[in-house]
Amino acid sequence: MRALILTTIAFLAGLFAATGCNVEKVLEQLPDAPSNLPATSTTAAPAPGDTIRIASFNIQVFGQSKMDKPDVMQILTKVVKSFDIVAVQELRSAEQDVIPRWLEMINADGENWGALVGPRLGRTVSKEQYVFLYNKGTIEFVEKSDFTINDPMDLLHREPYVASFRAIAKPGVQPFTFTLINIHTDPDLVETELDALGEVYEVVCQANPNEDDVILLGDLNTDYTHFGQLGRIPGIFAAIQGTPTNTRKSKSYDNIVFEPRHTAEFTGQAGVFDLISAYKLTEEKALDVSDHFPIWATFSTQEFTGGAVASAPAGQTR
Amino acid sequence: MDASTAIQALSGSDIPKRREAAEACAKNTGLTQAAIVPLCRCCQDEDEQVREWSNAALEESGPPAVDELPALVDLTKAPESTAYWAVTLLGRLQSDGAAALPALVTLIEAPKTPTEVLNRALWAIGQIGEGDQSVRSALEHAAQSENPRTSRLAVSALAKLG
Repeated sequence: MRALILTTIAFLAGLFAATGCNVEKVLEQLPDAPSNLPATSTTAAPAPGDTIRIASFNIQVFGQSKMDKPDVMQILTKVVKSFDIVAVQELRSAEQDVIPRWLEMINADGENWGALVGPRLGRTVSKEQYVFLYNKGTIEFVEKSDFTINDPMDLLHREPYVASFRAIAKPGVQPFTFTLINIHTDPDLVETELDALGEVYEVVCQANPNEDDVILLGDLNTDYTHFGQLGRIPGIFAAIQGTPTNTRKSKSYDNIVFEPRHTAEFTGQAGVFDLISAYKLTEEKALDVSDHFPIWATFSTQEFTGGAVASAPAGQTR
Repeated sequence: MDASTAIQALSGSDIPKRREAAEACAKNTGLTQAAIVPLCRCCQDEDEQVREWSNAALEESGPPAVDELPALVDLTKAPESTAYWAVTLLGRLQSDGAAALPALVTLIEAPKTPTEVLNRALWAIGQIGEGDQSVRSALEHAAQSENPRTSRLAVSALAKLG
């Protein structure tokens, strides 16, 4: 019996809506394989095009104290707007006005961003929430597809928050649909939790066989060589390999994990968004923003099916 | 901010100063190491920002200095969030935390220990990785718990005792 159980009804209903259309037309339209791209680069975010940029960002203790710092919020807002969708970890505020207030800042230039906020999770009076921020001009949320992983065996400190989305593609193009699993592991229980996340990943994949693009992203508190059961999933791939993701550039904690043989939409471009060089910050100032850098990966807005691997990036699959 | 200023601020009654000190610790592991005991206390602070920054500092701090062990053992009797962090830090000491085993066993056997503190104590014993018959008996009893996490952590700790 699975230790982890999904709250399936709303999830399945939502994903059916996402993937229930005809995909045969795009079977032969696979993207060109990128050549000799590094698996990870440390750069600014890539230029937009027929792709979407999916990011993950642990914003250390994101709450009232950061909201009260206009310079920090200005940088956070610019960072988010460099991407199409951002999985955020470490919203830490009992007051539930933080994300609505931030959305006002993000949307102040006329863009239309939305947010999904998970429940408050944690074993002590300290609680965290997961957030998905997405640009409604490029991404649609699949209605009622979000849920928190049910964890009856209590394997995970902060159970992952899952939601499905659809890229807004050109007319006549089958849009890329995908399910994101947002996670922040307990640094003292990384080994146990990475094993559990292997099960989470497989359960989410099996819960909707019509969705082959399942992407786990967040702060894993370990690098890709220590993924345990998650790393033993055949063909699993970590987009960030060998590049530090913390602001002090000493540890690789964050990652974007998926199966390229299914997620052929991956362009081969992924990296760490170095806030220090991008915004010419001192390390001290960057630490005011977060102790993590955002990480990102780029995907085609067009759905590709049929199992071909668009890119066999230079990094290792397993 | 220097260590003595941080410790004084974290232990004081001025909320903005406690916030500032806790945030400074979360950005500086060396400062956290120096202020580990007041940070544990601040995890139960009345002010949310103090609590959250203190939690963040301790999450990233790694093992404490061994000479903090007696003070951390005292904090295992503190309110829940403070005790939770004291026990976590004792576990991070691994074999250097062996002197804390009697206090951890007391937590496991006391009927009123909050579940999350109890579970962390089981984890900490596994991290320390040693213990006499009293430790083993406490773990064997906990392994019979109906709480799946308690039972699993006790079994895991027993396995690490060898």
